[in-house]
Amino acid sequence: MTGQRLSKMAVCVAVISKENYPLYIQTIPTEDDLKFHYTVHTSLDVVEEKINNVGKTTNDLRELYLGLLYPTEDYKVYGYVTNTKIKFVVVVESSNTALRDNEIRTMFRKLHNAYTDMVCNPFYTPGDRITSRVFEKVVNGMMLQDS
Amino acid sequence: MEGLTLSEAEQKLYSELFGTCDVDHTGRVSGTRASELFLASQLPHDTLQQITELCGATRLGHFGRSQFYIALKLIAAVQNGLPVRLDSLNTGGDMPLPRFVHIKGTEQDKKRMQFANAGVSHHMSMEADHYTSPDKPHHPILERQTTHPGVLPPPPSSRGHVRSGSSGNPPHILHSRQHVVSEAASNNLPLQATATSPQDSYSSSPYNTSPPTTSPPSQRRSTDRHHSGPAATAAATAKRSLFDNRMEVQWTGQYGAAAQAAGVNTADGWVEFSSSPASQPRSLGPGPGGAPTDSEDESDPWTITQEQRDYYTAQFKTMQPDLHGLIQGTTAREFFQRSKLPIAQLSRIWDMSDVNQDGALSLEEFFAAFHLVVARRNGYDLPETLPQALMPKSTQPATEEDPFAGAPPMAGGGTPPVPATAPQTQAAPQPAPQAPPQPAPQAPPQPTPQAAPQAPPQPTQQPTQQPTGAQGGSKSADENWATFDENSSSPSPVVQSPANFDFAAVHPDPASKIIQPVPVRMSPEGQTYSDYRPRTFSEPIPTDVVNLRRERSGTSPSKHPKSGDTAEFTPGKIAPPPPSSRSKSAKSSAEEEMENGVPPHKKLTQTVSDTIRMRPRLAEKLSRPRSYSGTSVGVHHPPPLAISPLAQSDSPTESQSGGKKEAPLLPPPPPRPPPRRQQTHSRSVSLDLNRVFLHRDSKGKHPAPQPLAPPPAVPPRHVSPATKGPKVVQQNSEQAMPISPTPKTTPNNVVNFITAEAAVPAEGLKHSRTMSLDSKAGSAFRTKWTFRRSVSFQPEVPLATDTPPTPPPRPHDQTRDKAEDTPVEPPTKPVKKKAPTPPPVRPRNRHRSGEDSQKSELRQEEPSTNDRRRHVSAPATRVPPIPPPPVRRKREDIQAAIRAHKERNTVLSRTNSELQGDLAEATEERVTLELQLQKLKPFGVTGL
Repeated sequence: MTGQRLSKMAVCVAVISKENYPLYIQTIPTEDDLKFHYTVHTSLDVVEEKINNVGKTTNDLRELYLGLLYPTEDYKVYGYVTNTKIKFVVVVESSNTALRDNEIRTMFRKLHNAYTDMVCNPFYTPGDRITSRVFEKVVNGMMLQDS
Repeated sequence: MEGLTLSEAEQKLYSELFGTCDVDHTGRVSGTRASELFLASQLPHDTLQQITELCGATRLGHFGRSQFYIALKLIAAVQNGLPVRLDSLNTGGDMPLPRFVHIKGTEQDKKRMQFANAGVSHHMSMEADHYTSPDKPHHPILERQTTHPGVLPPPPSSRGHVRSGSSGNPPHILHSRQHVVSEAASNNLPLQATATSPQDSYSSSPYNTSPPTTSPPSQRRSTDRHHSGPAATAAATAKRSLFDNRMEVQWTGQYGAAAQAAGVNTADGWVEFSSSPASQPRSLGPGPGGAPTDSEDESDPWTITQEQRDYYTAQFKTMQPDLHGLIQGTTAREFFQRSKLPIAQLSRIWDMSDVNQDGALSLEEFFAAFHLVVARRNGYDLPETLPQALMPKSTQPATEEDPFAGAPPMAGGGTPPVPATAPQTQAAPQPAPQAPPQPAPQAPPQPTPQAAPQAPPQPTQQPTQQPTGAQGGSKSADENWATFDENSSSPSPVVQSPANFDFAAVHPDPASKIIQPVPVRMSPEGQTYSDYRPRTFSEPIPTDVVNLRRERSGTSPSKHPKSGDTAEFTPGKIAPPPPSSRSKSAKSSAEEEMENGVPPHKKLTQTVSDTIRMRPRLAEKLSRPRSYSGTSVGVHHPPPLAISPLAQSDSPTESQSGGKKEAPLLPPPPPRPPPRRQQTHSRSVSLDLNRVFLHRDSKGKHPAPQPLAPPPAVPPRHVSPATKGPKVVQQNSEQAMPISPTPKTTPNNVVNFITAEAAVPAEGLKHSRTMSLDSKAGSAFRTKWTFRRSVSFQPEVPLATDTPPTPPPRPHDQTRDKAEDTPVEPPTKPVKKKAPTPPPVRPRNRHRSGEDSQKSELRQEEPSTNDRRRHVSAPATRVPPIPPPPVRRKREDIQAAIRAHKERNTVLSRTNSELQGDLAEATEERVTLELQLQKLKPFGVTGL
């Protein structure tokens, strides 16, 4: 709810399948969107690591939010893993100070809800690329340019 | 069996079927032979097995006569959406005959196929008829009869004959009903307009009759039959062998229904469908009743007709017996995949239809999904968002108007975002692209044959459409658009034609009368007025009102005398109102009239105005209402003009005074503005009273004020539309006229009838009683009552006049004097006149502004039928209607708010759960700490 009102939000939203292939990647219009793809790709290692660590250290599976995966010069990468091991990766600009941890959590919740609704569509086969307009609409709502 | 009552038609058909199946004349029919016949019903095997079991044939091992009859009756019941139970046998006498699709052994060409289909499907037949030639339709029939023998060895020929014979009358009725329904629902009048000749309708009717429906029971049944029955039979004849799969058959039926629903391009779509069936098992052939679809098409391709709803419900029940239950996604997926639409499109449809995103479909969601699938199958593009008409919980019956009115996208709800105008626009563009492609592949062969036979008729329709499109469908950037507009508005040739045909068939007499008026319409307004007036119910009151308006508008004196004559006639029929609307020519005028509450006009307005309205509404609805609210005077004026003619008939003197001043066309616009002002005043006081007073004043004063006030604001606009528009409209209206009368006369047209009848018998008393509220509607019939009231109100008149006349002070004084005089002098004549007059005047100014908005709201909110009724009926309805639009909007808002709140709720609940978890942890820690503390304390204490 609150996230929608933020002036600046994610610059890249990615949904990664359980097998670590991309289901959906949406970036703000940019010339080098491959950069975001690369960023997301590299973040998967961190995600994997965090998942494993979580499994070892605590059995608390309730926390799906992985927090800040790693910061780069220009961006911060946040991760989120569903119970079905679907990874959500959100890239935000480092300069965006309005996005605090709480807002990121909200964004991931929204993303998770949208994904859940999308999966409820019986015509979507889990593992297929996501083409749902509804889902895309939600993601676009979280993107920088739409906010 | 016991309690099995069969109608004569049923007995005849059943006995023939039994005779054909009982080859050995042993009084028994073998299961194989019976199943051969039953499979022709296109019912699922499971259902047929159930039927066989229920009738007792399973136990006997063969079909006796009674078992056979019961089975046939059950098939008929199931085909009409009833459950497979013996109870279904006694649901009523309306049960249609079972429909069997005969495989045509020899189909010469696709043309025949098409023809047969056309004959089967109402649309086809209707279209063909419209297009012109009765001959063509006849051909299909002949073909059917001849072809029937092909599939079912013995009985087919006899069956076909029997069906045609038995159904002859009923089909007409059904059609008429359907038409009526459709009209009422979607303001299809324009469609009717397309149908010019009652003869066509007659010719078409036989085709329609082809289905075995002997009884014209409920509309639903009729529609159902049409969907599966006639269409199925026709398609079946051509493609019967194809219908191996039950699902496919159902789909075919659905598709047909969808096509009908989509109905935009009736001919093309149908052709395509018909052709497609031949190649594909799911042929669209069985398309549901053309009439209903037509109506839908006209109104809104996304509006679900009753027959479609019934069909969808039946399909829903196959998967979920509990109508309040949900169809799980997997089940729905399996079901919808049978449509063979791409998964991506089905996914989109699901996203739109599964409003609550719960992965399951409720009944209403299923309606939306199914309807979208059917529409897509029929070449419609999927809308970006769920059309308003398909929104669950939102009144589905509400026609396109609702979407327009309520269309404003809701902030909260993702589903309802469809803009008010969007539905039309979306629908129009979508059909265009899709329609062409489909026809190309499958239709090509059929279209050609159809084109040849139907070609002559089509041209006729097209011309009519074109004018209409030009008038109303300003948006028609694309041909498709134009067609859509036409369809939606009513001008659409195909759709309209069927409706017209039906009406004509049903009520030849009224049609003839109506027809006559048409020429009049063609001629200058004055003529049309005169004709219409007599026909119109135009009771004294309405006429008075009209006269007042006319006076204001300054319609031609010639009309007035005629109107006076007509006024005498008016009590007789409703037909006259249309002329008035035609004379008004301005589409808006018709609507305005409706709003003004002139009961007699209602009918005319309904027919003519519907045609007009549809177009204008689509394009102009938004603008008009706005214009009314904003610059209401100018725009509104035209309607009063239309009304004025009617009024003139009653009071020639008044009308003359008013009419003489201004030219026929020009006068109308000016008068309206003044009335509005008055209306506004009236509203402030009491609608009826104010109106009456205003009318009086207006009668007296209007002539002067009209020229003054009206000309500035809208006169020019109105004039141009009235002059040009009226002519065109008149033509259309003329064409439509026959239809409109027919509906009135036809029993099937419940709505129309109700309005008309109510206006005539009941309206008099009721209206008089409700005078205050229903000044417009009641005006016609109020006569005596209005008199009394008018007299009592007279004192008020001056007040009302004072307030409204602000613009033309001089006229007011005169009008006041005149008004006062008129009430006193004319008690006999004036009484009625007075009553009617007041409504128009006040309504024009304030009422119209308010009414216009109200009307627009009403239109949007309520289906065409309701709108018509309300409009026609009276101001009272108008008043209530206002709230509805808000209601719809409110609904949307509320839905959006609900969603937003739900989201918030979920968020809060999650945070709450988290906090509670933290709280639990904290409490645990606290408990442990306390325990530790307690453990430590003793030591401390002891230590201390």
